[in-house]
Amino acid sequence: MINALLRLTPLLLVAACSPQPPAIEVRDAWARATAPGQASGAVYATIVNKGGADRLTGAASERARTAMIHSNQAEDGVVKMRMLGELAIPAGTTVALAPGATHIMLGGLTTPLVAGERIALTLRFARAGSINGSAIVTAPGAR
Amino acid sequence: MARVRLILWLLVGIALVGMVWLATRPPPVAPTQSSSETPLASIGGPFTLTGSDGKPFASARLGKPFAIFFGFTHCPDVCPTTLARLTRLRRLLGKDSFAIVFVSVDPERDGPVEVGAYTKLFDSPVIGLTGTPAQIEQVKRQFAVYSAKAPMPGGGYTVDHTATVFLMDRGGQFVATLAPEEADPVALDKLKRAAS
Repeated sequence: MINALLRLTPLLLVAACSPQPPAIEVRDAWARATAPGQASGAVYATIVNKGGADRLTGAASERARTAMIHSNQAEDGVVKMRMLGELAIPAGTTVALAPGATHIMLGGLTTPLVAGERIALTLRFARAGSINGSAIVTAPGAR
Repeated sequence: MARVRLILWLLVGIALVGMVWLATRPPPVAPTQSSSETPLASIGGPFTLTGSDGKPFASARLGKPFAIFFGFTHCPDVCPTTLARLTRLRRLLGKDSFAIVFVSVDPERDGPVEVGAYTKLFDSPVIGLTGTPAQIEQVKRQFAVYSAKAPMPGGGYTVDHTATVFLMDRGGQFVATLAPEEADPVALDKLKRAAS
């Protein structure tokens, strides 16, 4: 009996570690317009996951030299922006990349982001792979 | 002669030690009953910085209630989000209800041109100010604002900074703070109080 259980253990572990695949959808991606000479911008989006757990591991845009996942931590009124290696997208959840919180920081913008234009955006997930889309640039005071 | 010189140097040494002692000794302890109010009462005060036109800008010129926020133009998220929020709140209260003042805590990268381009982004007036590092330090002290550079992976730096907005009345007196997580009705109440 014990022997049989032991023999099953690896199978059970494999079953536990490979849940259903993620089903990721990126909605409402947007960025705030930037000023001429301003090197960095931010992109926000809503990530809807109707499948198994995944992780956002990176991002890219042709308009920026770098695109990194950043989060803001506020301590005692002081805001610290730091790079996150990755962002968990748990099974069956919606994760918001939102102003003042976690966002994609675009570094080394090649040209200013102008209100009304769309910029290409790729989000990379550990399991779902790369999802290509675009983000609308809004006027700075619009939202 | 040599002895006189030695004595003179000794006197210089004693004077120096005395000055260092005076400069570094802890300040006298304030009476406990007023200690909780002192920091609030001392927030703000007149300041002169540099406007986006490169000319000196004195706070006396504001002449109306103002919301003052400290940030930097390489700040892609919190700073534009805060300024956007302030312009939105001002639209609700009336366009002349209060001035919005943005002070750079990154004067090494933010000259008048950078600050001007950044504040012009918004569809309603934001007064962008910068200054020499010493001037900025002075105004930060007046508003009890903290900022420090933090290196970023891959080069460059970001600036950790106090993201509190300070609301000042027409006379430049401190009225209240706005925190990013506060709901709009609370913020509007405070703004009305500052603008009354």
